[in-house]
Amino acid sequence: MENNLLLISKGSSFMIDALTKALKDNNINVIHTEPKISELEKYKDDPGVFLFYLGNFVDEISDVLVFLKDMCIEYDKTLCVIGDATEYSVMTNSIPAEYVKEHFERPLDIKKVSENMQEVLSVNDSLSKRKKILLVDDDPTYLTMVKAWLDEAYRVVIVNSGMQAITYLANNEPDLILLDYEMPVTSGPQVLEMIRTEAATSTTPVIFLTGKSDKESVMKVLALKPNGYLLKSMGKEELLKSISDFFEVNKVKTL
Amino acid sequence: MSDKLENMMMQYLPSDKVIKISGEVKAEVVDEQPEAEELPEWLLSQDLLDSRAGLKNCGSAEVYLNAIETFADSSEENYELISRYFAEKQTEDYTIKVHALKSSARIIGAAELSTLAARLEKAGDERDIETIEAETPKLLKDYKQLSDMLRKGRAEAAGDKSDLPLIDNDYLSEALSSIKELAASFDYDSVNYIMDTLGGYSFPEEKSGMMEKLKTAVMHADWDAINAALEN
Repeated sequence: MENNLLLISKGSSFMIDALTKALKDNNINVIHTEPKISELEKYKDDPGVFLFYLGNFVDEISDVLVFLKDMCIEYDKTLCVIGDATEYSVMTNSIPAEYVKEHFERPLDIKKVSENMQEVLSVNDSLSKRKKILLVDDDPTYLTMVKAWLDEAYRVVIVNSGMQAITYLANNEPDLILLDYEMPVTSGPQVLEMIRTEAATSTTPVIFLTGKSDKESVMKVLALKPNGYLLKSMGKEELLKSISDFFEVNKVKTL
Repeated sequence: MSDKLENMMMQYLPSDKVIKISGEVKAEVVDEQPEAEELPEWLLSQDLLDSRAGLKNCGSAEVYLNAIETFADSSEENYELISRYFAEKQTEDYTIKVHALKSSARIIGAAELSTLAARLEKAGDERDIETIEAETPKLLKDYKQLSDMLRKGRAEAAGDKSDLPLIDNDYLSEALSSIKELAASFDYDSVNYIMDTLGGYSFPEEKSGMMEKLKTAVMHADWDAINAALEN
C-alpha cells in the first residue's frame, strides 16, 4: 500500500480517534503504534511516513526519540509531528527540527493535518484537490442537508450566522462562500459588504442562497453584485451542477 | 452495443485507445432514487408530513433522517422565537424566522406547513398585519403538532436510554476538551464524531443540562453556542 502512514501515539484519546477517522476518510491507511523502540523497529521498511502525536510523556522517552531520529536518517523516513510548543521543544532536544517535515501546533486542525498528510504521501486522489466551500445559513435543517450533498465533491465548513462566517474568514480562505441572503442579526448583504471591504477576502467568490424566486427579489439580490445566486428550492443534482459549472467558468476566467 | 461489435472493436483498435466501462458503473448512475423502505415505520405511518417527498428532496434516507432530527431538535427554540416575535409584533424578525421555516418544512416534506409559512412570509414582507394576526395561530399550532409528533416518534424509536452506561468523568472531560479544540478549526465532522461516541453514554445529572445545550449547539452548527456550552 502506498498510502500507509505510521501514527505514533501513546494510549487512545478522542483526538487520536477523530484524527484517525479523518485520515482514513482521506484514503490514508493508518497504522497505530506506541512510542517504544521494540514497536518502532517493526517499521524499518514501511511506512515511509511517520506522524508522531506528542504528549506530556515526551520528556520520559529520550531513548525512543534518539532511536526515531536514527531511523529517519538510516531509513529515510519522513517525520511529521503534532504537539504544543513545550512538547515540541522537548522533542527537538533529541530530534532537531530539520528532521521534521511538518509540525502541527495545538489547537489541532485535523482537516489541515489530513490535507497536508495527503500531500506528503502524494496521495493520487482528487480528494486532495477538492475546493473549499464555506456554507452560511441560519436554518440548521438546510445547512446540514446541503453540507451532506456538498461533502461528496468538496471540503465544506458550515456556520450558522454571518458573524461566525466573518470569524472563520479571519483565518481561512475558502474557494467559494455560499451565503444565505436572509439571516437574522447580520443579514447576507451585510456579510457580503464586510467580505468585500476586507482585503483578504475582497476577491473570494460569494454566491447568495435565496428562497425567493420572484423577479423583484432576484433583481434585489443581483444589485449587490454577488458572483451568483442559487435558489434554496434547488435539488441536490441541480445545486451540485450549478456549483461545478461556477468553478468551471471561474477556472476559464482566471487562465 | 452488441458484444460481437464490441469484441471486434477491441480486436482492431490499439489497446491504449480503449477504455472499458463496466455495466456496474452504469447501474450505479441510474439507480439513484432513494428507497422509502429505508425509513423507519413510525415516519412512514404518520400523516402530518409526506416522508416520500421529503426523502426525494434530500436525496437519501441518511440525509433525510438527519434533516428530520435537525428539524425536530431546533423546533422548540424556533417555535418560541416565532411566538415571541409575533406577540411583540417584531415583523422583520418574525418574517426571517417564518422564511426559514418555509424552507426547512419543505425539505422534510411538510408541504402544507411550508405553504402556510410562505403565505405568512409574504404577509410579513408586505407588512400585511391582518393576515399575520389571522393565520399565525394556525401556523404555530401546526408547527407544534408536527414537531411534537417527530420528537415523540424519535424518542419511542430510540427506546429507553436509562440503561446506557454512566460516563466516566475523566473520559467526559477529555471528550469535551477535544471538542473545544476542534471547534477552533470549525471541524464539524470530527465534533460530530465525538458527539456520536458520547451518545452511547448517560451523564451525571449535574452535566445533563450542559450536554443538552451542547447537543443542540452542534446540531445547529452554532460555534458560538458550542464554545459557550463548553465554558462551564
